[in-house]
Amino acid sequence: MEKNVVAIIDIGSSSIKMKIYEISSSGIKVLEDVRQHVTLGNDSFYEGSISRKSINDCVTILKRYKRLCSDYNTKEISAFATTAVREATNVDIFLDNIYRHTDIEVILLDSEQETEFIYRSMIDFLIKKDFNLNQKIWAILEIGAGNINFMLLEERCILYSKSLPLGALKMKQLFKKIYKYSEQNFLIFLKSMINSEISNLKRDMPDLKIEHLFIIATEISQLKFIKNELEVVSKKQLKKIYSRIKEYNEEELNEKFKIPYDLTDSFIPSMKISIEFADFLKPKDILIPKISLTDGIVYHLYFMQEEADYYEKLEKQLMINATNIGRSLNFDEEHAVKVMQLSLKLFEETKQLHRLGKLERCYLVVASLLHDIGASISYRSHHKHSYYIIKSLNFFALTKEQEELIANIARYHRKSEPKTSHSEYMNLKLYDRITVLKLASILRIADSLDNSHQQIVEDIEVDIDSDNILIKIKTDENFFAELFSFEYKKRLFEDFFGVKVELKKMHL
Amino acid sequence: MEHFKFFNREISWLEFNFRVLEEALDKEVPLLERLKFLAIFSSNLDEFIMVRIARIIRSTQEEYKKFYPTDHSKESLLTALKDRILELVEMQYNCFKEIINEVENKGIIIHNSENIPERYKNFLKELFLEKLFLILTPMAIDQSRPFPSLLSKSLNLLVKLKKDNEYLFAVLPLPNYDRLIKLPDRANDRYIYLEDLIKLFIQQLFIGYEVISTCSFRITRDAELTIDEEDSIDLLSAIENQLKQRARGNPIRLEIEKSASDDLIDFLNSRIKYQNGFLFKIDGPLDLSSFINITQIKGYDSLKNIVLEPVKPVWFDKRKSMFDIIKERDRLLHLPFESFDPVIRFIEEASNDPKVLAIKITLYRTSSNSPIIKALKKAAESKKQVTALVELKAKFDEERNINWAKLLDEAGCHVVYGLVGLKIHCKMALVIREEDDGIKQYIHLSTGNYNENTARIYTDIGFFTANSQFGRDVSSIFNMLTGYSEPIRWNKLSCAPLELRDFFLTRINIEIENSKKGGISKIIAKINSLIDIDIIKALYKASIAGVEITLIVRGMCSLVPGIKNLSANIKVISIVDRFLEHSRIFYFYDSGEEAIYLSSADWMERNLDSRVEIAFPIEDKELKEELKRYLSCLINDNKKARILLTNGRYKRAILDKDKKTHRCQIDYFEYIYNKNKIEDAKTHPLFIPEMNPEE
Repeated sequence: MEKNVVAIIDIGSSSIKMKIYEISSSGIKVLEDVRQHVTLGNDSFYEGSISRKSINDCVTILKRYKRLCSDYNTKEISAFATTAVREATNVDIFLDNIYRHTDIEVILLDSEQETEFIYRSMIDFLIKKDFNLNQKIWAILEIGAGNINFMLLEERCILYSKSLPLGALKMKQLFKKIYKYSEQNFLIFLKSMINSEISNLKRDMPDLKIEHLFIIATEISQLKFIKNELEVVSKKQLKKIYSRIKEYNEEELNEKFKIPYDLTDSFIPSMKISIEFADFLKPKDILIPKISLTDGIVYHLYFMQEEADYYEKLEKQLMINATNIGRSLNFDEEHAVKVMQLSLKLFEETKQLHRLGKLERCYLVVASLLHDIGASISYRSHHKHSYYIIKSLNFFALTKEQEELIANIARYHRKSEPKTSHSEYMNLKLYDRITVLKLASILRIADSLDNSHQQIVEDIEVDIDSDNILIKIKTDENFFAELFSFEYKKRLFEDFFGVKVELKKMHL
Repeated sequence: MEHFKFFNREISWLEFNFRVLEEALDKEVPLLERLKFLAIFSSNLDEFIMVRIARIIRSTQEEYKKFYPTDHSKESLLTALKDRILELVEMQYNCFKEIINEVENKGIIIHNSENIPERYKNFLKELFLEKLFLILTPMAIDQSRPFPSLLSKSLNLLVKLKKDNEYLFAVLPLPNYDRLIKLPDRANDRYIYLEDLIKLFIQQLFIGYEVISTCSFRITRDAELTIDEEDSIDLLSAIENQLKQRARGNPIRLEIEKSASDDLIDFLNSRIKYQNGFLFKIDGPLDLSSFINITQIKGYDSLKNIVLEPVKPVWFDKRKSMFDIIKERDRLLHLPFESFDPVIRFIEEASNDPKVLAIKITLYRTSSNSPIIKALKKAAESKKQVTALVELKAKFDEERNINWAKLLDEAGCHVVYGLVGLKIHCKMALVIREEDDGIKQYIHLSTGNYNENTARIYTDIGFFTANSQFGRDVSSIFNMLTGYSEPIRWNKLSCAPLELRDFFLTRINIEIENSKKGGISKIIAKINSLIDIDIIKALYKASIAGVEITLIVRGMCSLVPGIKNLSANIKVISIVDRFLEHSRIFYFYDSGEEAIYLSSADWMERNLDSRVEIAFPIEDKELKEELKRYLSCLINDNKKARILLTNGRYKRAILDKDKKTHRCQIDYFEYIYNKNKIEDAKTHPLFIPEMNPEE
């Protein structure tokens, strides 16, 4: 791997951070680590839009950062923005101003991508620290200014992830907005907000005994006793500090606790969130690691391609993720798994036709596992219910566009084929629509092969010659229902790929 | 517990200047060096009056209470200071007369208008008409022409004139010309004072009038820069404007030659609103600071200090690049015993090396034609990223600073002019170099400025390292100062105004705790001034707890040593010798770890609250040993060291009869000289056979 100096900029709610990295075969080295205070979160969460002053501040800071980059002959500068920019009503104006004045194209991250990057840098960090994760359930709580990301993991797999609208700074702004002139009762407000999100979480997430809770929060890392890259703290310690500081104002926090001014507003919420989550999760220990979003991004941008099994891991993650969701909505797990297996088999065997890759295979995993999830609302039009349920879920490492795409695949597992009058479908980009057609056509056939929900079909083999596909099914039972459904559901596939598909019982 | 005692800092400062005067009084000091100490005494005193006395006068009652919480009233302090100054100035001029007489015996003769031999008058008249006449600008004073606003510290003549039985006064500011005018004499070095030369021919300037009498006088004004930094967008132009005004601050002191007639004195008295009591009648030439360069006179080696040529450190190998030298291991550079050349070469090499991407440096007091400035210019011209943090607010150097700051700016350097409300006092240079195995940072940190002139007269310690943790810290400080970043947590350094005081207090507390547990505990600090109240309180507590404390404080010290149940374990010494003691070293026993730090900061409120300063650890074992050796060399001084007494006065260390004299500055030079000679002989054998390359 060639030596390279790159910069990652993280435009957050209360600060713009930049790290300059030197990347080489021996790994990543941080050359610079800078942070400048901005008030994007204040603007965005309170006023709704980013003020002109803040835009100008960002431009100034980014110009300085560029100059610092040139001290190291930095080859690439990548900039990312999170909640505050994403939620601002004038996000376009902001991005355009930054681009015109600094030549920096800022990429908007959604909370799932944020989660993924945090997860990446966390894993990378723990590997470097030789941290033993064997057989352990652990959790990551990342407290951002605009939202918090929560993840439950087993070894290196994400079991569950969720983004909660509990940003440490956002809470303060929200409170100010509602109770315009009063600082009173903020602590009560804080507690009730956190507890209502926690009780939602309780219903949603799998009930597991948690070993380690990693808390990632800039505010918490400011505490004096946090000296090492990975520090163990006790709930008692956190509570003791909290009870001392909860009535402090900004000046007192700065003077007595040396908290920088860009973090004073979010400091108390951040502490409270940590404590409430620790109370709820009851982990064996609480750890504060020294990692950041930029570390995850640099890993993602420059190392991921090198990681051969990335999609295999992603597929496994998504499978666990989707299964957990399915279970929480009482899906027919046997049917779902069977349809997934058949879909994947078809996907692999017909590769020369659809020419899709590993990422699309991941889409198919989620769509096939959750294609009937809408039935938990009502069997009638359940494909439409599936569509919006999937759309409203958060999947680890998937973007909103990707989730929309998957939701469309599930939506077309039965009944009508895509039509120009279907706005959700037409809203997709052209190539995404094609992907939906291809994967939905596979899913339809796979679904038809377990039409009776009895898992009659044990396995299939696929023979392809130029214009004909023969699916041979292995089964001991009769399969009228499946055959009947197949004849109807194969049409999309036949139309799209221009081939004939036949079904035949395998001769054993 | 709250029975802390403090010396007033101003009174303590005057005692420091008395120690400078003592060097002039010391007959063991070479004659011309004694004269130079008189000059230093004068220029120190000028600054004290312009800054410190001026500030006391300017202060409101509330401000005064804040400055001197433990002291008596403003009026009584001013009186005490004035009385002591008068006492010292009298000693100074007695000493001056004595030295001038002795110097005359050695062949350096300085005349005045009364004792100038006739044979020189023609020569002088010609000189006066040719060189001076045109540049002299007399200013008559009458009802339509008010008393002119004269520059602070400038020498002036007051002339009483008569025409048609009417008396008239005129002021004649002395031109910017040599103070001592050399006379043609082959046998001796013969001079006349500029003001006396002018007095001789002053009638030439007032044709039609009769010159009745003349006297020289000098005004010292309030010189504090009072820039409203909060409101000034452009610090550079704010300081430029302020400089123009400084020369015209309120008059504080008026000096008049003693022989002036009463009517001249009365006239000045009525026209200049100096501070009550600060009229000094001087028995001798005014402004002895003109003798500051007297030791540069050719010859007279027996009247000067023996030259101690700075030693080139043995590691400073011409054949090796500074980067390789630093990469090998951390290096210390002990000025002025060792040469400043490695620092210059470090910056020069950086500016020439194609692998170097960026250079960052803080510049505080730098000489005007400094090789470092030249190297930085060159680096910027060859498209390297050069960041220079220029502190414009260095006292009395602002004008010079502005000049080369502009020069660097024009060459393409990224020049940052200080911070609003903070003075950048730390001395750091950072070189970023792209090497085959990645980006490397090379760092130089020092207790003294990037100034090759003061590098020969100030004791300072510089430190070179390629340790990446230092690199991260130093680049973070640069990022903070250039507005790239808010402070980040440091790995090795402590930084004022953020946490440097806390850092020192914590270190002192560790010693206190260790002492309470019954362990060994020890603090040694070498600083220029000790007036920070919090630190002094902590030191008192440490003394009470049994910590053994030795303080080597060159200048002001508000800590009162030797008081039972308060400071019995504290010893304070002060060393004033041929080199100005300037390095700051801090030693803490730390349960045997022996932590040693160097710093740009003194233990003063000003350093810890309103300046950007750093303290950095020396971790290399061998280098630590070097510093320990140096500290004990300082402590053992019994020649130039004075011990601070409980009454605020200092006394010289008494030499035991059979005990050897120890003079730290000489002893340490010898040590450095011998060490390098021996090491040099080891690494560079005298006979190196020329090898056949084929062999």
